[in-house]
Amino acid sequence: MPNGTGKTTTMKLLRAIFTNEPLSPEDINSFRASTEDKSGQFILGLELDEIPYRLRMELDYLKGTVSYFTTRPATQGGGEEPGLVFPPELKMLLTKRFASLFIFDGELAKGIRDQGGREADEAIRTLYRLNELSTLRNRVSQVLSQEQNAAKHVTSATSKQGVALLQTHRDNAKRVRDKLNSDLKQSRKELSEKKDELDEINLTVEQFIKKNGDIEQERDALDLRITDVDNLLFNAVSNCMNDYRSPAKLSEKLKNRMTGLATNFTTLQLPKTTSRDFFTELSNEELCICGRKIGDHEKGEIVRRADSYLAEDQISIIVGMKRTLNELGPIAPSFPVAVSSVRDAAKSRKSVERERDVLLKKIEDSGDASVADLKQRIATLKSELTTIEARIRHISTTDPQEQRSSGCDEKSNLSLAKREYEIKKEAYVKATKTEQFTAQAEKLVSDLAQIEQTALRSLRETVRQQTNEKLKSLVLMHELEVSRIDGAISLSSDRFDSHAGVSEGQSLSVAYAFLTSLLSAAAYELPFIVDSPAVSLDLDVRREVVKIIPNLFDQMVMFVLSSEQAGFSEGFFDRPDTKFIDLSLQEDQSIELSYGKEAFRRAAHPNEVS
Amino acid sequence: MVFRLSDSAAAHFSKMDTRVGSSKIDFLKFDMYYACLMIGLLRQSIVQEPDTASELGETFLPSDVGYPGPFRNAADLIAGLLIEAELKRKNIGYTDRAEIESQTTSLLEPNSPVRLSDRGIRLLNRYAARGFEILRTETMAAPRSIAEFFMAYEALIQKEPL
Repeated sequence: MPNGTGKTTTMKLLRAIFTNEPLSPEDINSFRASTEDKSGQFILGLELDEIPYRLRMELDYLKGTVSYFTTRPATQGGGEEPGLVFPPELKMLLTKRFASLFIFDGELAKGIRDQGGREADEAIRTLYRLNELSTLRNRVSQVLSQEQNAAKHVTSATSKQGVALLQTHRDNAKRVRDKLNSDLKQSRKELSEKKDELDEINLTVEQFIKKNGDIEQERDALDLRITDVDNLLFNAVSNCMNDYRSPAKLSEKLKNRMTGLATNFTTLQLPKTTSRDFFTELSNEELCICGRKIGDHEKGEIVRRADSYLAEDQISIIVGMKRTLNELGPIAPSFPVAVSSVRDAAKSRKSVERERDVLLKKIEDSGDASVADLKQRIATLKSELTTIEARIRHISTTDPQEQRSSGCDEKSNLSLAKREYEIKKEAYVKATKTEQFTAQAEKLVSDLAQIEQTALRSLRETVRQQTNEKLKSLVLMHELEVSRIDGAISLSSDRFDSHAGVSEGQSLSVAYAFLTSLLSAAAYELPFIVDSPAVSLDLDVRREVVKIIPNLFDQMVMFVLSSEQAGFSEGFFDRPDTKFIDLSLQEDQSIELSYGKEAFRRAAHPNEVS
Repeated sequence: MVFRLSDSAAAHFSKMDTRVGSSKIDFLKFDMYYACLMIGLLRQSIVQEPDTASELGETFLPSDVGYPGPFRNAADLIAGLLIEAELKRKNIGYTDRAEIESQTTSLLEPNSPVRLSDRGIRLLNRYAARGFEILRTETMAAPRSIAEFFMAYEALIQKEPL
């Protein structure tokens, strides 16, 4: 078949129909034979478990879409159903990567053999789905990353030290919460006990008062009277003190004496109209008021006698006394009256004191002293209850406004402490989980990587042995042996130490042997489809490969160019298990199919007369 | 010149409780002196002139300071009572104008806050000392309360016929 008859297109369509890989509008359009075509279809017939399947691709060139349909006898009522309906085991296998193993690409065969390449490993990984372990590893890493990101809003601590610190915070918050719980419980117990005690004491006091009257009240009333009497006495003593400090108010006799003295001074016309000052001035004159001359003798005598006369300012003292007495008037001194008030008040005080003594005796006899103690205890209890209630309120309030106004915080208020504990606990738990999760995820990733490596290693060996078994049975190949699969295939033989001595045909055959050994482990036997397998091989190699290929594959579909007939296609002419189809391009660009060996042979030698 | 109060007089009043109920009365040292003085002047009786002034007791108030506040208005009256007591003690008749004037001038000192000359103050201290003797002899033992003192003091004053 010549170029332009659709080999590559057919290969692409085969890959698409097996793998259900999405096709781009450009890909779809590339299948369009003519711009006038609005749609096209590709039909593939195959047998699966000896059941005939018909797969159909419907291409809508205008919309750039593709639809798949399957026809199989098992479907209800027969007929075509949408989609590609394969048995699950096969469907799971048919990935794009896997399809490339049996819808063969010449480049892959080369890659399998190239030292330093990865294709041999990739082929093993694809068949045995080892890539899913890589995908799983990536997924675990992704989930870990998501988990750590999600934990960030609670805590960024994922290390052991960070978790330990969060644990300490959580434990501290728990301790505070537990202590507040305990304090609250204790306070409530205390409150209850004190209330009980208060009730009991109140009852005792009530019973006592019923029996003896309220002596306490009596005593209070008496104390009040004592205070009143004390005030009365104080006022009386204060008044008395004022009168005492004035001689004229102190005693009538003293007042009379002062009055008598003043009267006498008046009677005697004292102070005299002529005072000491007059004589002092006279002694300084030359002549006396009688006209006589005042000599030294007279002067001395006048001065001496002047001292017997009251001076003007001395007179003022007597005048002051007179004025004070006049101001007091004829009323009798008030001190005795004030003392009388003191006497009365003192008498009252004594009387009240006697009453108190009697009451004290009564108290002593009745046992009211203990009641007084109980009343004191009641006052103390009431004060303590107020304090405890305030403490309970502070610890137990859940009202945010009250918490603020009372200065509550997470160390003194239970609901705030609980919230704080929950926050700390959540942070710790989250960090712990994240830390555990991180460790587990990392271990899982590590284990998966190890499993993947171990599996790959083991599978390499299995495939290597299977390939070697196959090689042993092959003509021209039994000397070859796959010594190692490490990304690519390494060969050794009795004659050759390395690739260098292996012919290209042998090398290609090894790749085919490797692939067939590999695919033999698949759940289904798959055809091997290859495009232009020999185009790049020289004649000697072609002849070599032709001898090997039939022993490698149970079913093989090869698209060959006419130029590949020499040394290659012609090698199959004598094989009865080979079918030949020739596609030839007509002058009108249509393609003609011819079946049979002869038509196939003629297509390669058009000028030959058969 | 100073006022003097004997130790025994001060001791006599020292046990006196000046509290009444929850309040306290301010009973000054001059109140003690005054109590004695008034009795001495009332009886117009005086102790012998001592050899030394200190025999009359400790000084407690300089005369140039004057009487304590509550007694300021009593200065003229105390001076008058001293004159009257001295005239009586010296048996000077009511009509002996010259002698009365002479005694008066010797006792008064207008420039002193207490209105008395040094002689007047010395005499006042002797009247007070005598007054304490009478007080201690004729009244009860030392007063226990100020109310008790006033009652006893008033009774003592009343003993003296008008």
